[in-house]
Amino acid sequence: MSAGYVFSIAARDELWSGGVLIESRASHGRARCRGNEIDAVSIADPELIARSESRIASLREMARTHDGRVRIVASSRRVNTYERDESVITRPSPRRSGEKVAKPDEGLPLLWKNGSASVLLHEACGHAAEHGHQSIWPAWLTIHDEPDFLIDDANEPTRITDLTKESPSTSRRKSFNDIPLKRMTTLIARQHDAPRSLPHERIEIEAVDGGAYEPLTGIVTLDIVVADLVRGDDLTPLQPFRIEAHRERIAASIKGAKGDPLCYDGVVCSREGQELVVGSFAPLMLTETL
Amino acid sequence: MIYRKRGTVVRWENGFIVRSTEAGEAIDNGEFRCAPIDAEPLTLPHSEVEDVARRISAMGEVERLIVSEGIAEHECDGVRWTEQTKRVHVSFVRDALRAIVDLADFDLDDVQRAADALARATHERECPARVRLAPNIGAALLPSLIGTIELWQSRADRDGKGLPVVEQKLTAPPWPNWWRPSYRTRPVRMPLHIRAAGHGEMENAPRAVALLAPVAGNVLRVLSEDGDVMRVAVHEVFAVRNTGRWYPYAAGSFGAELLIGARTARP
Repeated sequence: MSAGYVFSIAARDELWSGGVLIESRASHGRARCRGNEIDAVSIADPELIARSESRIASLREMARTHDGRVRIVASSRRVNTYERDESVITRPSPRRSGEKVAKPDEGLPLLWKNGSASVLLHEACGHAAEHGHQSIWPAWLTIHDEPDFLIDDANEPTRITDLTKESPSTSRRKSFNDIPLKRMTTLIARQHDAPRSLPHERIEIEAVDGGAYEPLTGIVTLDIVVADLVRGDDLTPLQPFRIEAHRERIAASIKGAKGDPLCYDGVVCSREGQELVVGSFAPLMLTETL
Repeated sequence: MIYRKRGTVVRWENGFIVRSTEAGEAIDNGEFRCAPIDAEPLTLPHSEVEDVARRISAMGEVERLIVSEGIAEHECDGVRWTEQTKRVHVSFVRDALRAIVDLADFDLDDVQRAADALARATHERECPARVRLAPNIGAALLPSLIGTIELWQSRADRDGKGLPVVEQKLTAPPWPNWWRPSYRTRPVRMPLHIRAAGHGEMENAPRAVALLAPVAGNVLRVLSEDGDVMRVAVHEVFAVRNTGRWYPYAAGSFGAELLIGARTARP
């Protein structure tokens, strides 16, 4: 971390339901940081407040027209003179009824659609890398953290990191009174001439509700909220189910992929009590049963 | 209803010292809104957090350590009150085990006991029929025992809406008082400052001294003082011996040594 810098932020976090505002939380403040000491005070920066309010205003337009629950978050931050903005809109996937998966995987391969493989890789590769835990990934797969800003929240230049070989290098913080942590920014998985056979019988995963990585055991937990059992042309909706597998098992299970990375929207990652938006991209991906 | 809070906290968090001064306001009229406000900062003249963090760090392999000390002034519908707080959250790790301790003071006996037990940790064993839970483990379990043993909410000055916290036997919701850990959090009805009614005779039994995971219903994963790892499903409480020490579990509970009837919980 650099010798001394000033971090300032303004943010707003809102919860909407059926087009109606339920909760609205504003925050702002400044942190003077030197070495491992942080002096934080909830002082207003009118310019940052105006910027974050402008961004949240555009998100509200979407929230007003959405039937379900929507969370919108926008922030504007400055590290010394470098300014940047973040925003996210998250819409929880509605839990649906369907056929119960007695054993979650039924022994069937899993097809991760809509970029949802990025959540699997976020946990099994990204969070594992934060703890220095590496697995052996297919040679045709790259998994990078690619910050889309130049200076991080601890006043250091950002760079792309190869998460299969190293920890994320970007320091991030949720707010002015949080400590900076090395965190993912935008995970992008790409396939390069991957195998692409599609099994006749499979589970197709559409949406993931959340995930976790336990660094002491290497176990990844993922809650699958929208999935279908596919047998040829037959498609049966499945009830939500949970996947628990070791990171090395997940790395070894990846069998193929197709196409460009797809954006999986609205990934908000929580670690050490700090919720941060993490961009998430992955191609259509096939794994063995997990 | 308008609630305002201003405060200063000194926090040691994983090697950083954070001195944070904050003031904010929450308005709840069906729609909840909160935002920072301008206010005179409160002063915390002296903080022990660095010294406490250093002492804890020397006890074992720390995975996560947060030590904080703060002062806050609250105001709700014309009622004003102040409080000073101390908090410790530490997790020690050894191999695939994690011992966690939460405190609301800087008496570090529980922390040392957990670190020592983890250093002696061996393997998972079947749970004996009776287990004694050290007061810190009992405090963590009490919120889950509502409706199964006699528990009371203890009288205190103010809740999250500035109302007096009433002495009341805890049987079923709705709870009479409100918990508001931050001005950014909507207050919720919770049992505050839970204590158990003392009863029964303590017996010799293996004694659990550290949590290896947060309490999940009636299931505890604990470490005995001999270093045995146990996954305990609590089915009866035979004896309770109270202490006056307050722990930051749920909306607060008092330490209680418990003699429980147990069986091994399957993962």
